[in-house]
Amino acid sequence: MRLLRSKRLSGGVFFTATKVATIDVPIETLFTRDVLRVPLHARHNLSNSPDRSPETEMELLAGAGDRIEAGDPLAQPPSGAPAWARVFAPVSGIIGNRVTAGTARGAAAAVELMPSGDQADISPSRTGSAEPSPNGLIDQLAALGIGIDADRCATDTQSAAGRPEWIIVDGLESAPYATARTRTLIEHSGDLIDAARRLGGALGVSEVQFVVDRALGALVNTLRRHALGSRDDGGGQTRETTVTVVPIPNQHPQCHPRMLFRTVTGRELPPDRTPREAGAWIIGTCELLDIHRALVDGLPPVAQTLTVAGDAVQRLGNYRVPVGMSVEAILLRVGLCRDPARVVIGNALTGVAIRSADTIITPDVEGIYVASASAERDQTPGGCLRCGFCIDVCPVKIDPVGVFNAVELGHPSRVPSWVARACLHCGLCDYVCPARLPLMRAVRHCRAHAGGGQYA
Amino acid sequence: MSTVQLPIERLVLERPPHLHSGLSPDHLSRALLMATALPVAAGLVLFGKAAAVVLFFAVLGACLGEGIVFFIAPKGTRRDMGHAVLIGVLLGLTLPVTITWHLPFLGGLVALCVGKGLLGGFGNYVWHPALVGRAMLQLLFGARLTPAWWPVLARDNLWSGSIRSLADTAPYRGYQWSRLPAWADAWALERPIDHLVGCYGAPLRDGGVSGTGWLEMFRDHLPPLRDTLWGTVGGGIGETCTIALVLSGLYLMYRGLLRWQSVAAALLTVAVLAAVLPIRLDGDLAWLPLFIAEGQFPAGVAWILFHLTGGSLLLSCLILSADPLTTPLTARGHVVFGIGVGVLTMAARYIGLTPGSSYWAILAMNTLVPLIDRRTRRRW
Repeated sequence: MRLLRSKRLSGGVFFTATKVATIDVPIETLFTRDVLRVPLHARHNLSNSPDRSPETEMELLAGAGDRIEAGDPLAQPPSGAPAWARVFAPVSGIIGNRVTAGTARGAAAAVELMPSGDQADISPSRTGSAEPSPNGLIDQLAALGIGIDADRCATDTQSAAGRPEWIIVDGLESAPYATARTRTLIEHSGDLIDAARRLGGALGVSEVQFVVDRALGALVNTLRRHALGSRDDGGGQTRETTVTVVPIPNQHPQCHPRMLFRTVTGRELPPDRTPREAGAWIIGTCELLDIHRALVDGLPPVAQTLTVAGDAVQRLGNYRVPVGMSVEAILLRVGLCRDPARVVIGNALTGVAIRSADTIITPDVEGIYVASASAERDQTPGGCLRCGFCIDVCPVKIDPVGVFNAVELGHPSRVPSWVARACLHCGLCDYVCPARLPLMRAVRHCRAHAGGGQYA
Repeated sequence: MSTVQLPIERLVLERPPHLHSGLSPDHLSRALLMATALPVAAGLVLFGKAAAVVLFFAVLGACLGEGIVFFIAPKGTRRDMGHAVLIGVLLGLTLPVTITWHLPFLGGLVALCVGKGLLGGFGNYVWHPALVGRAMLQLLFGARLTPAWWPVLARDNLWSGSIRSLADTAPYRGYQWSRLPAWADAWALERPIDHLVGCYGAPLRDGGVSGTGWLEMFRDHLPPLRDTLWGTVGGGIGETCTIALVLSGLYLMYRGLLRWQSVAAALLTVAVLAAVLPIRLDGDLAWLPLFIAEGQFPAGVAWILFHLTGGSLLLSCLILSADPLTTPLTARGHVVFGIGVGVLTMAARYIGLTPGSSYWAILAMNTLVPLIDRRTRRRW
C-alpha cells in the first residue's frame, strides 16, 4: 500500500486563473532616475541563518561621491567575516551615503546610488572575473556574488562545497499571481537548459531535474527539445550530465522546496531537515539565468525579475528591476488604477504587507501584489462549519481546525510539536476556510508555544 | 505616467495570508439550495401543485421558526434566512405529497426551533434539522407520512393535474405502458421498496407474506426499473427521481460539499447487504438473493437495484448527508458514516422498524459523528 501511494502533492489549490493576466506579457525592464538604495547584504536569508548577523559591516570599495560603473563591485565583506557575497552596482552612477533601508525582512544596511544619464539597459558595462577559477564553478560564481543555496536566496558559499545528490531546477511557481519564473523560462529556455547542464556537470550530478508546469505543454516540448540538443553537442565533463524535464501539476504550494523535494525524489523529508541537508539543491529559473549570465558573459546579477500584479495595478506584468529600487518607484512606473489598500512584497498569499512604499527591492523578492479596498474580504471569523476544506487542502496533512480548537481551548501544548514544525505556512487553510478562522495563526501560535523555533 | 501616490497611512498591515477564496457560509447554503433545485423541479413535475403547496408551507414554517429563534436568541445571533429556506425545502422533499398543508408548516417550525435553535443554532446542532422536523412529524402523525398509496401524475397531466383523482389499476404494467382511465389524473402507486420489503425482505418480522411469487412480483406488482430512474413511482416529493438526485449529488461533489467516499460507502453497503442477506422465498430463507434468477430474468440484480433506487436512500445519501455540520470532517470519517447509514437503513428495512428508514439512519449516524471524528481524524 505504501508503494502504491503517490508522492505527488495531495491537496493544494490551483491558482491558474490569477496568472492569466501576466503569463503572456514579455518581461519588461524598468529604469529609474531616483536614488537607488542598494542593499549591502544581498542574497542572504536572515530567518534561516542566525549566525550570520546582518550587523556585519561591509567594506565599501569606493567612497561617497565617487562615480561607479554598472557591474563594478560596490562593497565586499571584510576579510575573515562569514562568506558574504560581493555587492555590485546595478547602474552607473554616483555613490551616496550609507543609509538604512526598509526591506520586506526588516531594516537593512544599504548604500545610496544616484543613477547618472540615461540607462539603456540593466546590463553591466564591464564584466567581472569571468575566467574559470581553479576551485571550480562554485568559486567562479561566488566571485560574481552568486551563491547557490537550497533556499534559493542565500549566498552561503561555505556550505555550497558539499556535493549535491540532486539538482532540481524550479520552473514552477504555484503561488497566486506569480509568473516571473515561468516567463524567464519561456524567454530563455535554451540558456537555462544549458546552464543547468553546466551546473550539473561541474557539481558531478549526472541528472538535473528540470521541473515545469505540466499544463504548459508547448513549453515542456521546447524544453525537452533543448535538453536533447544540449546533450548531443555537450563537451568535456558535461557530456555525462543529462537534463530531465519533469512536468508536474502546478498546485500551490508545489513550488515550496520541501514539496518539490518530496515530489521529485520520492522521499519523505523529516520536518527538521531542509532539502539542502538531504542533498538536494533547488534553484529557481531566475537564479539559474543569473548563473548563466555569470558563466557565459561574466556578468554579476544586479537586477531582479518580479511579477507586479493585483487588482489595483494598471499594467500587470513581469518586470526586471535593479536591486535597490523602491516599491514606490516601481508602482509609479507600472501605474495604479485604484487606491491601493494592501501592498504585499513576495508571495501574494503569504508575503509581507509593507508599511511604507519606501521599501526597497532585495534580491529575494519574487513579486509585488497590490490589492485595492474592493478586494479586501471581511475577515471576521465565524463558527466552524465542519466542512473539512482545511484538512483536504493541507499539503502536509495536518489538521488545522484541530490545532485551532486546541489553541482556542487553551491547550496549545497538547498539539504535538511535529505538527507545528511540519507546517509550511502556505496559508491555504485560511484561504479556503468559509468561516474565515485564523487557522494558520493558531499553528504559528503552537510553534511559538512549543519553542519550535523562530518564525517570520 | 501615473501620478497615483500610495496612501501610506491607509495601508492594511495584516499578517498573511493576504488572499481569501471568498467562500462564506452563505456560499455553502446557496450551493446546497442550488442542488435541491433539480429534485424540487422533478417533484413539481411529477406531483403538480400539491407538491408546491407542501414545499411552500415547509419553507414558510422554517422561515417563521428562524424568525422566532432570532427573536428569542441572544443579541449578535445571525439571522440566516437562506439556511432556513434550505431546511424547509429539504424537509418538504422528504414528505409525501398527500399530506395537508399544516403538517409541513409544523415540521418546518419544529425543524428550525427545535432542530436548530434549541440545539445551539448554526454551527452547533448535532442532528440534521430537516430530519428532526420530519422525525417529529412521523412520531406525531405517523400514518399520514406513510400512506398506503402514493399518487403520481400520469403522462398527459404532468405538472398541471390534480393528485386527488386517483386511479388504481392492477396489474400495473409500468408508467409508460399502462392506460389510465379517462376520469383520473394520477396513478395510485405503491412505494417499490415498501412492497418489496413487505413481501420478501423481512424474515425477522411477522406476517407480510404475499401470495405472489418472486417473478410475479417483479412482473405484476413493481414498476419497471426505468420508472425509478425518472421518478414515476410512489414516494416522497424529492425521493423518487433518481436522475435528478444523481445530478444534484454530482453538483455537490463538484462544489466540494459532498464526498464521494460517503456516497460510495453507503450505496455499496446497501448493495452488498441486499445481495447477501436472506429473503423469504417459498416459505424458507434463501441466502444470497443476488444469484436467484427466474429464467432469463436476473431477479436478484433487480432486487438490489430496487433497494438502491426504490426508497429514500438516494435522497439521504446524496443530499441530506451533504450537510457539513452534521457529518464527519475527514474522508475516512465519511466512509464510516456512509457504512453506518447503509447498515442502519438495511437493518430498519429488514427488521421493519420504521418507514423512512434511511432518514432515521442518518439521524442515528449524526449522533455518532463526534465519536467517528475522534477515531478517524488525522494523527493530529
